[in-house]
Amino acid sequence: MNKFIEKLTGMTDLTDQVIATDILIAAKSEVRNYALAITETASPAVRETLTKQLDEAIDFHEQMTNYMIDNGYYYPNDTKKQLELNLKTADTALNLANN
Amino acid sequence: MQDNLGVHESLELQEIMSFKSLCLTKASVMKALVTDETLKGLMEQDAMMHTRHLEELKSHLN
Amino acid sequence: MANKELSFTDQAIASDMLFESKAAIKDIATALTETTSSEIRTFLKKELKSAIKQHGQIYNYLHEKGIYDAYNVQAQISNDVDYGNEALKQ
Repeated sequence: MNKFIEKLTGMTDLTDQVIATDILIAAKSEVRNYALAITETASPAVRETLTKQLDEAIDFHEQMTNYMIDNGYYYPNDTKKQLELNLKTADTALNLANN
Repeated sequence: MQDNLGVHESLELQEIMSFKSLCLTKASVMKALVTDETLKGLMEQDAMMHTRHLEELKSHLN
Repeated sequence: MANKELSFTDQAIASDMLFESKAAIKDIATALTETTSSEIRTFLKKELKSAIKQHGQIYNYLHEKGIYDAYNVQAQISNDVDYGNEALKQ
């Protein structure tokens, strides 16, 4: 039972990290998707909509990046620390899948 | 407001729409799993943005 | 300005500009998603906006000249084939 709770509380922390990372990656893809779509745009109305939405997507990506940095989920200026974190996350995921 | 859309243009819009729908679904479902209030707020903001964007994109397509 | 037909060289340069402007938009957007400095982000956002505007201008130019038609796929394909044949002759 103790072990179970340990695993569960350990995971609550992880859940936030996993979800935040997922949203950041989605926000990143969105920015690129918009840019790609804009290069195929022919009508001014569509270009305007997409440009405006792209602007918002960039702003949201910024907020998400800052959130990740503030919470120690993302170290863009410290590749060593980022690698450690990535390896730890990978191990946790592997353990979760194997148990 | 049916725009006169190019083929490639229309397909790009549809692709963005399906990606956004996925993001919106995930944001709505996963909000319940999150413990941090700031993250929850960001997810709500994200969901609101996707909803608005989807409506705008839809208006170009139908 | 839509009256005179473009020479092969002019068409090549204009098409190249369109492709370059497409590449610029994609590259700037990708760079934006790797940025953490707000100063660089502001700069790239401005660049991205002007790249999108430029892409629109070049696209409209090519459209007016009848070189690029996003609405008529069939016409675009035959246009591309003609251009390809012309390029092979050079």
